[in-house]
Amino acid sequence: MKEKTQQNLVKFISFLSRRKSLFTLLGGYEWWLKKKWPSPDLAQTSYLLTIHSIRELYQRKKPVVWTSLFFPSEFIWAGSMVPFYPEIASGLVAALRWSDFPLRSSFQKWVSADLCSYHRLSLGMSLLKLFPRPDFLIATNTICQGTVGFFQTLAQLWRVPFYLIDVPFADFSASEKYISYQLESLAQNLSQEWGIRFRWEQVFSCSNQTRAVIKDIENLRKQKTIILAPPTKNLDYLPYYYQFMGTRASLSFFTQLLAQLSLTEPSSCHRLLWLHLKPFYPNPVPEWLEKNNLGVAFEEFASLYPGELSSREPFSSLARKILYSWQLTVGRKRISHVLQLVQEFEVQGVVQFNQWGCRQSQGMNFPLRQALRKQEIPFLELDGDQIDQNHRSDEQWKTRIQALAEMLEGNR
Amino acid sequence: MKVGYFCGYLPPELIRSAGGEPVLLEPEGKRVKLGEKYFPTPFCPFSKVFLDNLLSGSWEKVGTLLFTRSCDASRRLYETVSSLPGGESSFLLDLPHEVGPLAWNYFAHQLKKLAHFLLDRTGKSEKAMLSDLEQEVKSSLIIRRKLTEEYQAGRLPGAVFLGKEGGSPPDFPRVVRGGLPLFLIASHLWVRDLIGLLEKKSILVFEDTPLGSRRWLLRENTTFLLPPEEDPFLSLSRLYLEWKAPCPRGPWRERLAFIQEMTRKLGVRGVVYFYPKFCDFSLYELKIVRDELSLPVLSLEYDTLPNLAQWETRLEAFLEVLTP
Repeated sequence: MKEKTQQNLVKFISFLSRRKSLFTLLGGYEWWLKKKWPSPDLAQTSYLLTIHSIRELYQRKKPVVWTSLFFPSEFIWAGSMVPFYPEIASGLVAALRWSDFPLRSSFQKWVSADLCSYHRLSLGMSLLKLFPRPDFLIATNTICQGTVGFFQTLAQLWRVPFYLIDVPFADFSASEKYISYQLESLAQNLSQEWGIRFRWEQVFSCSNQTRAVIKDIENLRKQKTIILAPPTKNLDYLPYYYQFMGTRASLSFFTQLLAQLSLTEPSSCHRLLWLHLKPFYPNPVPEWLEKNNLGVAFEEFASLYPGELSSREPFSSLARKILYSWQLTVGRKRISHVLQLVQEFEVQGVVQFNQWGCRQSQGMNFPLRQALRKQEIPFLELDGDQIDQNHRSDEQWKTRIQALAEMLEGNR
Repeated sequence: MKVGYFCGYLPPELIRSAGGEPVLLEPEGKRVKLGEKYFPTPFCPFSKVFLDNLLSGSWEKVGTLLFTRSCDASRRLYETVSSLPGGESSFLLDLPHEVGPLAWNYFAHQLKKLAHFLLDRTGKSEKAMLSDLEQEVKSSLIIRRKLTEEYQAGRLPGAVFLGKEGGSPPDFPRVVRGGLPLFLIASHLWVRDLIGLLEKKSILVFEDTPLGSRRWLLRENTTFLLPPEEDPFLSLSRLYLEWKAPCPRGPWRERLAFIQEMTRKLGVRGVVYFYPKFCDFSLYELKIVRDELSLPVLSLEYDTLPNLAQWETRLEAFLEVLTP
């Protein structure tokens, strides 16, 4: 009965999501919110932006482009398109406790439960026609090759074109050229087929300004007494690091975050470096960390491309930005980056959340563990799934977090 | 110098031209002990079995190991092997995902790097290697064309492509007995066991695996003639990216077209999809094959040990559906 009600509700929401005119009404709501909150705080800024994004994505006045996490959003904003990151949206769906139904729907359509749950949930939301319909898809395979299979399946499901930016694994200068050519030919293709014109100046300038503010935040977080609370909260801000880079929204968000962080009370907790992402459904991990006097000094996914984007060479600079993700994906580069972050942020321990379906990150655990052990840095691994609650193991996480805290207390 | 490899995108033509002796590595199945230490539970079983064979000394005579960036597991396997003692004699060939002139040029550049890596170890001259490579590519094409014709005509069933050390081609033509024709899509492990099981049930099995036909066959409508002045690395790059049978990593449209063409030409009655647990490419391809192929599909999953009894039960049920 419950299942039937859920199905009918989903059908109704799916029906509503295809009524473009309904979303025009959100414009009025947005205007009212802006009047109500002339100087919004961080939470209000996020809410306003969510409403604005929903309106843009479902109203479909501009081409909607689905893309993968490490494809630079600046490319999409510069073409006056609207980016949609299904992997980020999956986190939001999980946070709203809605993940079970789409995960089940994808499983019923032969999507294996052993695949990445970010991808499974997005496929489920696509099968249910709840995510906004894409005009086309652009993805890179820089973080994992599974992304290719995921986007190929999305292309088959939505019957839309898929453009892959193939990111090599080695040989920086040859790779930069290879990616740059691909981006250039993609831009030409989009101009011819979709009439898209790229204006780089404004978007790149905004992205560079935002990067400078994020750098200031990073520098502040390097101070031993500064901790962004509650632990892992910064991972909720990933859309601003990825989806909205190159827009005023991201710039204004980080400017506010910097101001807020400058006023933070000094903390004396143990400093941790957080690797990979975190469970996005409501869970007690942040609370346990806090209770055990553990704080997150920095998150690996918040590492930002340090170079500037240049409108004189848009494709090469975007290619270099894409290649910066090697810090996360190429084994020895990731390990030396992690060790560098440990030093720069003066962390006492490293935590990694092992995502069940993430082959690329878990396949690197052995050399990473070895490198951290050599430097005598405690390394805590939490096994589970960041989207699918079927793989959660709260008690095991709690015990492990306590063990880490005891170890760090002993080292004091 | 013996050069070990397992990926279908590593050209034995290049290994031979550079003075190496290609050895197609086929890890033997046994209970994995050492491999589990390096990789977590939800990880490619082939990588675990491979590492186990390597660490227990199965391939002591192989001096150099070659890997490709074909999938996440393969690149992590390379990183793990290269971090172990003696790992410096291994090489990762970067493999583009796309097709087209950009990818061909990029791959040709990577093949050149591999050639230099091998020449440094064999001591052969670059000039001699280049001349041999041109010849190797030409003869490889002739053999591949002939094999593709024979395979499509249904004259190369069973395990005929498997177990050819050093990439040497199978013998043909072959006398073929009748039986229910099925198409087998599989990966590296337990292929022989499954073919044996299928043949025991009087199945005429046409395999599509990286140990067998997928290394040899060409795509449909391949009208390829080598221009004499063309760079042999570019020819080799195009041969592997554009003309060789694609694998589950894609591009999926080409891969699906290949499967559809082969199943149509061979007149098979069904498909057995035999895939490794935790293999992203296979898991996605299985969905596409189920959705797009108008043939019954039996999916059989495996991990680090064969499970013949379970496969046999499921196979029998599948055969009952096919032959009521």
